[in-house]
Amino acid sequence: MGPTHSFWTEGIAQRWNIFFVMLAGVIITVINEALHRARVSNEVVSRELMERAGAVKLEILQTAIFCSANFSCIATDARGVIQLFNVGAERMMGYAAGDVVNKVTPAELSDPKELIVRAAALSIELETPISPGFEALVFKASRGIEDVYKLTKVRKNGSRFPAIVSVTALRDEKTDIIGYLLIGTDNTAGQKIEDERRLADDARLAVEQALHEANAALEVTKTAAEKANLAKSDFLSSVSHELRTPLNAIIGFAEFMIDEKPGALNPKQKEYLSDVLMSGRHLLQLINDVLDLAKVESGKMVLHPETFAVRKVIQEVAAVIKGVAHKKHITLQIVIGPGLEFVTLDQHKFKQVLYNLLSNAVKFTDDDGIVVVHANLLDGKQFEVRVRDTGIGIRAEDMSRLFNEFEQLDAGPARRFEGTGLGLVLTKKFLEFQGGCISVESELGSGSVFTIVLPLSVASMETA
Amino acid sequence: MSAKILVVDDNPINLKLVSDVLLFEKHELFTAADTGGARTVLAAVLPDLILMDIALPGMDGLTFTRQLRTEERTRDVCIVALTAFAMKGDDQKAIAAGCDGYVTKPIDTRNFPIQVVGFLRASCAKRGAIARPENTTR
Repeated sequence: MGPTHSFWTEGIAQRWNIFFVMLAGVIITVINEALHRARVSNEVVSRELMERAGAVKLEILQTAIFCSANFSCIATDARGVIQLFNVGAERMMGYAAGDVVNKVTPAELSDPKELIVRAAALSIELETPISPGFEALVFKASRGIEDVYKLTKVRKNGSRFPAIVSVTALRDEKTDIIGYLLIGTDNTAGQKIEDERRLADDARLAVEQALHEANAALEVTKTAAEKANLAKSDFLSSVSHELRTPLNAIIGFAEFMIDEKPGALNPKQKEYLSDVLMSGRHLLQLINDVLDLAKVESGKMVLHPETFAVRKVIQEVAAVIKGVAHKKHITLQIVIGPGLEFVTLDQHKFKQVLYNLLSNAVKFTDDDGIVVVHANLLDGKQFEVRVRDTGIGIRAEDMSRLFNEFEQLDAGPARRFEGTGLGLVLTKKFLEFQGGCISVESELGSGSVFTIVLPLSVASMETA
Repeated sequence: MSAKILVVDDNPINLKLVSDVLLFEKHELFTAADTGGARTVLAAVLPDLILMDIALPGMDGLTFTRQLRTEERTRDVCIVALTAFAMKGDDQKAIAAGCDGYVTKPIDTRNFPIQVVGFLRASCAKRGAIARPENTTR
């Protein structure tokens, strides 16, 4: 420590200039490197600065550095006692130079807890015990290791602010350490950004965690739903089986007797058995519709698309309806527009839709009426089928209820029309399932027009 | 075309319906309420057609069909599933188990005898082509 003493006690006036030149050079370097990674050794810096020194007016430089308000420059002796405390330091710390010079070390202006942590960390890093005082601030610099670190500074009034400090050891010609230079900047803004970033990161992590948990919950729900769906499917299958078994006997025996296979019947017997048969078939239709609906609702509906000629299928369905139409003297016309030939759809469901619309049209049209089926190509992708009747029509206020489950319009105690009330509901679901839609125009007493629009082709797909 | 037909069904009323409809068509009918009963009939008679209910007490009809397919004597007998399982996919299950056909209940009593004759003809043709070329006029 001898040389250090002599540096400060002997010939201070001569060495002061050298000191300031060094100081100026260090500051310039540090500023240039934005307080980071000045990969130039102290020796090189010192030499360069000495060379430059001749060209620089030292007093101006001294004043500039001393008066710089944006950087705190604190120089200490080798023991750490503050020898220089510039305007920037005064401004940042709230101390006057006179309060600290020759009185305290920079360690006393720092957060003591942080010093303890830093000393402990350095002790481990450098494998040597380092005391949590000034040594902790300058130890690396004293070993010639470049050192820039963050630190919390404590102002005279006790308030704190985050700082970034760069430490350099000051050496004499014999490279003995004669003191330390600590250059600091107020890092409040930087810390704020960092804190905000950390908060944002925390928030992002929290969101990610929440998402992860939600996904896990969703997975559980999905598995449960899949199980429930499976149970529902088993249930549907079993309900279907149990209902069909007795219906087999009801419909079968009624049919067998009406056909007089076991023996002749009188007209009344035949009439009553016809009623049994009709009711049985109605019940069967109801079961089929309810099961279809349940399949749609539970996502069990599967499409089986195939390519077929629209005209042929419409004619096939019309042939089934023709018998009833004929009995009521209803004229059934089919008009297929130009260009509409083959489509790729679930043929069975398309037939069911057509059958529902045509049987409705015939059912709700009085004797001697007309039912017209008009199929047209709409564009390259869609076609429409209009079913127009001259029937009883639908009241405007009933239109919205038309596609509701079990709501046959005008359903009183004595229903005039046979039906499950599920036909149009299923029709709509079947259409929507294939990317189609249905609309209706009607005037009470003068008939209805049901229009369905379907894509020319639907890809094979399943719900669920 | 009169044939020996075994009907396996645990529901006596449905058993009666199917038997009576087919008896009216002058077929020779055998009945069983489960696979055990069917075994007893099969020990005495080799039918031309077995109408097999699927949901049976004890062993189900499809398992029984698979068994019969592994046995030399019954390997080529025409077996048709006659079932109230009418959901999509049930037909494929029946065919996969070795059934030659699949008819759902409720049966259409007017069409059912025609379907039965169709199965018998197809079975005859199949067996005539593969197993017994001499036996083509039944």
